[in-house]
Amino acid sequence: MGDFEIFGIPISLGTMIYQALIFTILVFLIKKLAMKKLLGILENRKTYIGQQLTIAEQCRSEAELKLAVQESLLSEARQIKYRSEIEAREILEKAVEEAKEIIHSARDEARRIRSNQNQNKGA
Amino acid sequence: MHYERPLATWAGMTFDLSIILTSTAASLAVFMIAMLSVRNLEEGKPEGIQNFMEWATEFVQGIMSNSIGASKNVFILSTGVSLLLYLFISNSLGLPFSFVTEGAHPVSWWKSPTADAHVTMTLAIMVMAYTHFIDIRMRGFKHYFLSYITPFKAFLPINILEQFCTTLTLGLRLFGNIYAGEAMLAILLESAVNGILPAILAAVPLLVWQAFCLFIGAIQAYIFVTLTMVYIAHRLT
Repeated sequence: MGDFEIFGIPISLGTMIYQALIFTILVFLIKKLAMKKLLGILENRKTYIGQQLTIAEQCRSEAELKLAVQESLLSEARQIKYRSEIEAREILEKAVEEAKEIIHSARDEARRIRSNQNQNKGA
Repeated sequence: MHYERPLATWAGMTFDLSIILTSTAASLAVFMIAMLSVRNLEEGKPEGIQNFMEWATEFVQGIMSNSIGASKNVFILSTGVSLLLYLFISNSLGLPFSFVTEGAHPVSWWKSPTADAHVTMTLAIMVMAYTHFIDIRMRGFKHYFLSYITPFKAFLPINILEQFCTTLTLGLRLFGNIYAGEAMLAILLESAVNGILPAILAAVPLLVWQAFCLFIGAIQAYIFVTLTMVYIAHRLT
């Protein structure tokens, strides 16, 4: 029941020709209508992702640079704060000492004035 | 039960109508998938069927770069993607159901087209013819005919036999796997005719076997594409 036989197996040539034809058509349609577009999209996405990666790398190095600058500024500010605290303490101590001296000298003076008055009364 | 083939004769050639029906359905399905996937192409994040098509393309590109070493040839890539999808769909077409018309000669209309050696052998012959064509186009007729007597003349029958056997195994491997799967399905289904208990007992193995056939169908499609690429690579290098 075929067009011819090979080792007793009937072969229907029409089926094979139809099969070859429809698969060839399928391959060429897919190549022309789908595969070229799809490959273009894949290529575009590849370049896009590559660009985005380089941009991300640039942004990262920039951010690292800025971070380093910020850190140096921060340590500078810390030093200034530390120094100004020491200075403030010194000034305060000096002021307290000066105040003590002023009080001391004021008391001395007051005592002297009082003893002078007593001498004047006595005289 | 033995089913007849629905044969028709036209222009002096015999056509198997059930194979024409199912292989046309499979090609249409592949064509629809391809068309749907490129209808709204999304360059950013691909979604749905476009994702699937991109996966298939990159899968075949992977096979190509493994065997050929390059994945830029659009024709070979399209052949690989078409083969992969067409074979997988063809292998699974007969799994969910089958159409049989009763009568004096019961005729089976719907089955996997790859469960017929005509289809698989045609594809295998086409693939092998393409590899021969590549060889002739790249190196000329002289080198092509000389390749049959390398390393020396005594190898002529072996080289001819090799080409013959490669074609035969490429086609018959796929045919055998899918045909055996469908034959087993038919046997399990026929047990349902014998009463309720055999039907219930056959239901679970039937489900398991269908799942296994789906797996085998995918594996065989992958093997066919891989071997196609290997044979092409053999001619290119």
